[in-house]
Amino acid sequence: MLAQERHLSFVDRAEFDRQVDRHLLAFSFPLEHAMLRESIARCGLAQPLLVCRNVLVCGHRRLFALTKHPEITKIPVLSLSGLTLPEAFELALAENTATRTLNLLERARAIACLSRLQVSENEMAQTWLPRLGSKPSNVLQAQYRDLLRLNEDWQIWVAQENPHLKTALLLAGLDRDTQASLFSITSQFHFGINRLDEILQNLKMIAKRETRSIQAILEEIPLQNAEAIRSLIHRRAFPTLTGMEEKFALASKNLALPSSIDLRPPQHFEGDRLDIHFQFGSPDELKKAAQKLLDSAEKSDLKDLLELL
Amino acid sequence: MNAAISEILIEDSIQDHPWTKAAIQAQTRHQGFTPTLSVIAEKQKVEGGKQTLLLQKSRGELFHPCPGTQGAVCCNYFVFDFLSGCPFHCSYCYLNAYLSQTSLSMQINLEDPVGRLVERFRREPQHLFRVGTGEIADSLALPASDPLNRYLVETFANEPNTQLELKTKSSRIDPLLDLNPKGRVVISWSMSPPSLSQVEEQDTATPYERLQAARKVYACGYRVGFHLDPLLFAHPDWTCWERDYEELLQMIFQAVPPQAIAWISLGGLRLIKGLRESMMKNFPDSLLAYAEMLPGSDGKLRYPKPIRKRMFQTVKNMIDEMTQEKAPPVYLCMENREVWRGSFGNTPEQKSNLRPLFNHALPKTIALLP
Repeated sequence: MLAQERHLSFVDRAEFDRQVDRHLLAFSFPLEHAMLRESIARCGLAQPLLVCRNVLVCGHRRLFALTKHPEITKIPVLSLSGLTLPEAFELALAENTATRTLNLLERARAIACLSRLQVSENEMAQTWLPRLGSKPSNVLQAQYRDLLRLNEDWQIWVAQENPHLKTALLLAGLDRDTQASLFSITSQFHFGINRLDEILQNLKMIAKRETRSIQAILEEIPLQNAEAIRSLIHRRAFPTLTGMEEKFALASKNLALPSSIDLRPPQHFEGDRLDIHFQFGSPDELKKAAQKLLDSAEKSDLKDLLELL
Repeated sequence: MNAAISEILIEDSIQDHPWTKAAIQAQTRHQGFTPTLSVIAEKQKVEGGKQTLLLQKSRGELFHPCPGTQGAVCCNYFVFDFLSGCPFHCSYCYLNAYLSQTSLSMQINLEDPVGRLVERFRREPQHLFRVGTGEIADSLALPASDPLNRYLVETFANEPNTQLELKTKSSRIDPLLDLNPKGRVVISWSMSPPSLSQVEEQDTATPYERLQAARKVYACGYRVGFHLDPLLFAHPDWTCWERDYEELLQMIFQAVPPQAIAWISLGGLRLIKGLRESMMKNFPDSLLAYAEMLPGSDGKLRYPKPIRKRMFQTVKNMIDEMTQEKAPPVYLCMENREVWRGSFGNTPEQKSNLRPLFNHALPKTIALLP
């Protein structure tokens, strides 16, 4: 256990701002916390800020919330002594991870804190990543660092939506202008994580294939609604597949089968069999469906469908 | 072409085997310096890259039917996996995602496995055994494998119902030229158009060098094979694509006459799980991973079926036009019946020059060559 002594005092806020470094060990993100702000408005600071060697260790969100309350001029501070800064940071991590999981950006920021504390990359990967809730890995450590290339809007989105790391890294790999364009579209049309992930993967493929920037591709897409945007990008990424799907839809429509009969191609048209599924509740319904199917066997549209296989 | 080995690890149980010594000598002679040699315990975990070669005791069965893929037409091919890993750096190579380690390995004491093979060949004289060593390795790239390759050529040359295929992207054929394969050994090359090969097949012999090697081995009594597999479709411009492959085929038929060719296989690029990501990460100049590809029933990513059919049809037509009545057997690798029909208009059983490859019968045209 970390040996420490604690001393509680009420410190003048201006003095605190002058003397205490609030950035060195800051990893909580985003700092804005509506419930905390309300709680402080109602009850003041329930927990003191934790400080060690004139560095704020715990309470970054509380301190941020205090900016909305200039009337609070004295703040409770618990000063730690007998700890090094890495030990104090470990304490801060332990306090946080005991009650919640750090989001991707907090892990990225924690890695940045450790860099500022001169912790070696190997020690970060092997010792500290597990404390952040990740497996020990040099690759992962580098990937977390890359997340800090996200602009502020995307950082907040990632922290709040908690996408897969792969998606966040795709976003972080975009230049700032492209990040801004994509964020504007995402917030306008409310893409969910899965849809955004699909769009990103497809944009990346198209950009590489056509040797153009994602930004340039985005500028060509008419912005109607979320599904239309997704669909246009999908079509461009999979022109052959969407072409086959459209031909299939047209030929199926021309067969004029009733809605109770569902005709499907094999997945991705890989296979040589069509699948028919239909429902009936009486001998009459069965006869009608069977007759419709028999009729369709004579139509040239069925041949068109089969030729797609 | 760079196949230098800096470190050879030798399992203690085979350190005194004559082929261990021969392998080290062959490698040293080729590269002009002796690799670092270390003796290790059997089954010890080996770490290292493509400059590390493990010489190991043979364990388990090395001879087995090619696993093929779910739903594909099987060409009745067998593999003899005494080599594992490849010194080359091809962007699309499935070994990049398939093998758990990048170091190379070679099983040394092949007397028993080969003895069992010969017994099986003689037990089933009406069977044609087409056997390759290039499923999870390049058959000829590694100089250390020369002595064992010579042993295999000499063995297969005396078994009338066999065809040994040594598949490579190297041009290292000199160590085999003084042998008499009696028409029972096919040396085959994976081929891509030069412009694509330059980007996608790093450290390999150039297509031109491979064809010069093919011409040499043919002159020495070997048959040759070509694998236009994977057919690569890097950019959706059919005119360029057709020109590239037409030029490649012209190069092939200028180098060796069609009648020297035992077979040409065609296969579309297939990406097993994890390979696309690995290509994007490790081969940033390659465009192959960004093409339109879809998962099939076997889980592998392939070009959409209309693209594959068009590729196969186009290349097959080019081969037919260039070779006329002397057209060598052409078959599709890892494709189902319906792609066969869509591309060639028939299935392998319906094609007389492919029946031997696909129905196990002993083909006069192949097995009874000189």
